Amino acid sequence: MLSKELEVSLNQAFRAAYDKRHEFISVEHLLLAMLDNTAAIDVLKACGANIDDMRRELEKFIEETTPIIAAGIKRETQPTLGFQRVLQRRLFMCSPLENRKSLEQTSSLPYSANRILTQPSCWVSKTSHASTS
Amino acid sequence: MTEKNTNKPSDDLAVKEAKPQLKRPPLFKVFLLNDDFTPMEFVIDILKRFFAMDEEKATQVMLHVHTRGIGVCGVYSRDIAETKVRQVNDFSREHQHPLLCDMDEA
Repeated sequence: MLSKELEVSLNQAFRAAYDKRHEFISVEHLLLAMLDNTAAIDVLKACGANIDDMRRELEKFIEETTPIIAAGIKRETQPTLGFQRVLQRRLFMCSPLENRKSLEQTSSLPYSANRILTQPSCWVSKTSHASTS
Repeated sequence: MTEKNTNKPSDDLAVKEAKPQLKRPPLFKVFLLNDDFTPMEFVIDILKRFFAMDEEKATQVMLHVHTRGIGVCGVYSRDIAETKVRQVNDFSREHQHPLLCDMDEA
């Protein structure tokens, strides 16, 4: 179901959140990880995004808003509801498609980027619009 | 059959789309609501477990909920606030308590 590129980005997002002892992995973590992926960069650049600005703003936002798991407490980093919705929607969209080619296309990064933008009151979608304006 | 564009060049006006007005999305506060059934110890446990409070702070917030009917546990981005609310409500139901957690724009 997942393209190799998306899998790498997901792993990277999880690892980054886990290493920093972030309590949650959010949609912003995913977008930040996707900025290291050429396919995602191509899509974002085509929308007129400034990748460096986005990266800087995302890092700042994640540092400011993500709760940290206190030292001495054993807890796993958990995906936020928004993060789960982004993945679920993408899978819902590609599951009825029987054509293998379209399956690969929809399970790829650009499609996930599109799902992120539909999240309500989500900082990521605002940043994306801001950096493209 | 289509109508011909009869506008003269001098009538043309260059129109530029206005840049969208942007603002940071609001933060959301997560709060607990009082009820007559959930034990105080359970509320303190929730506050320590999900909102990283120490015993003293948790007791303070619990008493606030108890006396004023509502107590703010923290302020987060929407995505994180929503997840916290779900975690607390699920945990309460698992332990058969009717404690209600909700969120609102800060």
